[in-house]
Amino acid sequence: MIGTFVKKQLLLFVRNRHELLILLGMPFVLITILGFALGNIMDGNDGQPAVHAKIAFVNEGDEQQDIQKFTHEVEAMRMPENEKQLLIEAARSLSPITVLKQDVFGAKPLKKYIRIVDVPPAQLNKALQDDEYTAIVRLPDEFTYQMLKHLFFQQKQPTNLFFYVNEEKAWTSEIVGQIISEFQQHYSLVSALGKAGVKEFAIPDIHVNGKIETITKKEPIRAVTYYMIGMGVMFALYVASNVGSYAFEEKQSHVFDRMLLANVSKWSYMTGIFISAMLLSFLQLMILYGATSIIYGITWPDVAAFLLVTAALSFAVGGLAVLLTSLNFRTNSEQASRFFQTVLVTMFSLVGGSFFPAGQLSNFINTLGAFTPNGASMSAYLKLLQGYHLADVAYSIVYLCIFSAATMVLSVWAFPKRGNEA
Amino acid sequence: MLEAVELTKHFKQTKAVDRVNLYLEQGEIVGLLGPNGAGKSTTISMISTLIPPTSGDVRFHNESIIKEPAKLRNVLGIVPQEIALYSDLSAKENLRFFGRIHRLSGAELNKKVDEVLALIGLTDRQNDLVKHFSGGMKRRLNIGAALLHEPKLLIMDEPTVGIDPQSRNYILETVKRLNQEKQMTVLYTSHYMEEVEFLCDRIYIMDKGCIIASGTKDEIKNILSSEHTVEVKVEKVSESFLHALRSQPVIHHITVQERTITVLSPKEINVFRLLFQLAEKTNTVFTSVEIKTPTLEDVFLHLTGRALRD
Ligand SMILES: Nc1ncnc2c1ncn2[C@@H]1O[C@H](COP(=O)(O)OP(=O)(O)O)[C@@H](O)[C@H]1O
Ligand SMILES: [Mg+2]
Repeated sequence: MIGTFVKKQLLLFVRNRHELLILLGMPFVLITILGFALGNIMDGNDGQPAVHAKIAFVNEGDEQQDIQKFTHEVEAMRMPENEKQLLIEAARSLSPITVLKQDVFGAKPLKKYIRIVDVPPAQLNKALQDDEYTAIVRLPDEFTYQMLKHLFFQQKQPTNLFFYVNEEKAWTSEIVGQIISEFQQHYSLVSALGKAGVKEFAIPDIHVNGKIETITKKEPIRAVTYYMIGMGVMFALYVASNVGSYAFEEKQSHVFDRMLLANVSKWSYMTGIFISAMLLSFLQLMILYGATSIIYGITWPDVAAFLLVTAALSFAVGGLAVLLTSLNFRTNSEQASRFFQTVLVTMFSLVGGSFFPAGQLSNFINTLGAFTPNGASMSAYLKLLQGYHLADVAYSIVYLCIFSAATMVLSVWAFPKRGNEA
Repeated sequence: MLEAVELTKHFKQTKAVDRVNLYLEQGEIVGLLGPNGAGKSTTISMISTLIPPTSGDVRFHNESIIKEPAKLRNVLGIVPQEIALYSDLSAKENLRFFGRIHRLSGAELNKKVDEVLALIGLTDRQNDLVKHFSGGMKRRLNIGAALLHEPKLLIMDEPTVGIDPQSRNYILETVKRLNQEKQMTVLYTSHYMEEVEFLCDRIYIMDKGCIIASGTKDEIKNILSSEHTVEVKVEKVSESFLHALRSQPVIHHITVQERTITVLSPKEINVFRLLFQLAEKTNTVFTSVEIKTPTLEDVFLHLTGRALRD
């Protein structure tokens, strides 16, 4: 019986070219358009910032004082006066903290989406707990002094800079991590030293110790990849409202009466709806991700986990479809489907991050987004694409299953007792 | 076999069906005749267990089916007033789907689908999508979908609305055949009295939620036994002639259709003489005058003062 329902639903979908175009063609076009539009923004051209990263700088020392201290020490040394002057000059212009803040994070293409907040050392712990920060850079006392000593006299142990990463903001913190590691690879230092004309000094590594939790070998997300996920999870939601509308059409055209008269139970009917929507959204996502990945050369590191997340999202879509069907039947109108399709999908997609990483605007939106089925699955997909593993996205999968179960319970409650009453 | 007892349905303010009593015997074709909005569909929905009555009962082999609808549903075929089909599926796919929900499968399903396609005359068009069908073909398929599980009782709600005369005749003949060859009991709803007159052994006439007459064709027409139905064709309908007619208390229910005037009058009156007198006075020329055998239409007119079709 349920197989009959599912087969019928698939057939109806295949026959309906308009629907196919909306569910498969439209997201593909949007992925391409948005992917390239944002690609430009990321390249530092004009437009609105696409990524907001707030970085806390906790400076436990004082750069000027450190430079002063270093200068005094140099002056007290026995060496030619002109060499002394050169060293002092170099130290002044080196100012590694200023370089990191202004020349690295403050460089033109980055400035748009990175904001640096100076946090007093006393508030370090508070900042660590604050989800607003993508990363925290802690510079211990005498950081500059020790670094200068190390750079110019090879004395002391290499300086430690502490770098804390907010795991919640995997994507942006990854970018920040990458920047830090470039800094570490003395890209900026060389140019800073070059400017100061101290090429003759050997430049050692600045070891960035501490809790770097980003995965430096991983690639940052491309815009097109981001929108492949964003549009995929958004358009999966449309499957739910479409199936709900089809079901209401069955009621409207009295086909549902034929089912009742054939003694089809409402359980079989609802199960049919659930499985149809689940299968349809699974197929839709596979086709969409498959085609986009091939065309734009996107690779999925963990295919099994990817399939699991897709299955969990489809599960949630199935639950939503049954819920919308129940509500349509209950109100004897297509209102529920329509409202979902026009208002809720847009809202869900917005807070879930389908258009831009809205979760990074505020904690509230971030939390809200995580509760939407598209938001939950989107963050799971993005993590997987960054190289995280199944275990890291397991809670999203569990959440999607709980979401699905909750919608099913609600639909059973909302479904009219006899099924066909107004 | 099936019986409705004091069946009543209220929708908020409207009394859609008001204390309707009717019964069906095995093998009969029973007509339910009434104008739009009379409450026919609502009555049928209650009889076929689709909506619960406000009060009253439906009994199948003397058992109430309000709480236990499954027994009746198993032997029931319903042809809804609406086209209850998937327009994006072909005729065959529709029939296969409805066959399957009636738990048919395999060879049996194939056989029944082919049989029904032949019966409704759609074998040649079985693979065409329903949305490309004409109104008549859709109606035929709408009937076919109710026949797959070989119902003992077929309830049809205005199965010929809005189709060409050929399809209509085809449907009427099919219903007759089903009744004669398969001993199917049929409850046939319509607002076309010719159909009901052609098909039905017994007839219920319904208006404003109530049964206003019932019985065999002849019994119902006998309601008019005390009256003549006279049809007068005139060269030109004049206001003065109509006015003269209206002023005669023994002539009532005057209807005018183009140049045909139909009136009812008691049998004991010499209506011919009266009509000719009035014609003489108003300079009206008759082209024909005829006493008609009363139709169900006339009965309805007599009972309600309104025509069956508006
Ligand atoms: N679901 C409903 N809600 C409210 N009123 C209804 C409903 N169904 C029918 N009616 C009303 O009941 C009356 C009888 O309708 P119906 O049974 O469809 O008549 P028929 O089939 O004879 O044309 C009409 O006045 C109609 O407007
Ligand atoms: Mg009706």
